[in-house]
Amino acid sequence: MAVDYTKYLRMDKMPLYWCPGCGDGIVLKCYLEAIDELGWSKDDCAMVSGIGCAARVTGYVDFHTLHTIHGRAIAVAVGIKMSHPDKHVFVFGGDGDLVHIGGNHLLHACRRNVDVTVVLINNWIYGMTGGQHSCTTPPGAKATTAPRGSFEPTIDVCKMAIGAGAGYVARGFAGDPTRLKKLIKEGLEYKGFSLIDVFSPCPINFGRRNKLGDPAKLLEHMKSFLVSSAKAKRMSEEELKGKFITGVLHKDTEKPELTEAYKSIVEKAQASDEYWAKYVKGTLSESDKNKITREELKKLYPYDVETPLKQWKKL
Amino acid sequence: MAERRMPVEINHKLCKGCGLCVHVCPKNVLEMVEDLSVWMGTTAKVVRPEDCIRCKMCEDICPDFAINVVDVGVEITFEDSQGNLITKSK
Repeated sequence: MAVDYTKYLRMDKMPLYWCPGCGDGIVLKCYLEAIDELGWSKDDCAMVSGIGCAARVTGYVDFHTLHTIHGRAIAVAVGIKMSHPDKHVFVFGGDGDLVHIGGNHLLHACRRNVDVTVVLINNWIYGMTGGQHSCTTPPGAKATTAPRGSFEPTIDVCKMAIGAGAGYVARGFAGDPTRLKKLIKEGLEYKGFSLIDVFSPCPINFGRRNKLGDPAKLLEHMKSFLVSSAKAKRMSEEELKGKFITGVLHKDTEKPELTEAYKSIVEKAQASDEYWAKYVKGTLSESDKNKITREELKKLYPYDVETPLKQWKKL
Repeated sequence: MAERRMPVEINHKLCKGCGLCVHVCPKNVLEMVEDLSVWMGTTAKVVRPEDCIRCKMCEDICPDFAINVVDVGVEITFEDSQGNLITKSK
């Protein structure tokens, strides 16, 4: 056995709660292999999830885990990352949880480029709550709330994330675990917001209603929608209509990361606080004056603080 | 002395009988069987262990952490489908 999964799993919670043939277990396995290859300690990892089938991952992994309210997993993860910038923070969630309900949080985490890795398990349906159609259900597919087929236009999560400014965006497929593991590993290593959109089969709530109840059959059906990024370069736009490209779609190595930008502004503010404390006491030396320039101070404090301080000193 | 174990081991307490391992196996080592003693009624079974090339595709695709495949190069002794003891390292 190459990877000892029992090291990362809470084995007393096994067997897994998911239905037979659900892709969530495959994604979890790829993810644990990627963590094992990077050699990160379990105590340095924190995982956050919302509500849904995919969000039950936090119950099985032996990291610091948090199971929060529906759709707000990314908001909580950003909070954890800002207070502990040296820890690795991950989010697991489904398409209904992170895109449909918590879409706003996803957009703003993309914009801020905070160092959180989001693994989005896209199974085209609200699996746990009973098979309602979500924003990624393909048109014509049946669901509990769309018995005659879904009629709404869908959303391409990866294109949305690239537009919002995410640093690393990739799309994987649960039926291709070797490539998925590489994508997840690259996303974990990337310093900045990384989104991995994983297409994963839901044989019970999606497959059974669309006459694709056999997990292997549903896997082949999902595969027919996917085109690898190398193959997509040789295809015309008309051929790519209705298809999804897998692989690394976007990687921006120059965008600044949020916690680092925050750290630099805290250092600047603390340096200027020290400067003013010495200025008031009258113990300002020549070397202190070179630490921060007057122009930088004026940018930090746009108000006129020098005149009242001088007057206060005279009193 | 080679270790006495199968090249593919299935944990029947974790297997839910989804059939994905049977679908991906390139050498038809596995088969789905009905077994009322396991909790889901059907389970995967190793029927042709001598054909296994240890590509680990079944281990990678199994969503329930139920399959273990021995690494290539490890010498093991096991009983094949005819009932003969054979020793293989890959």
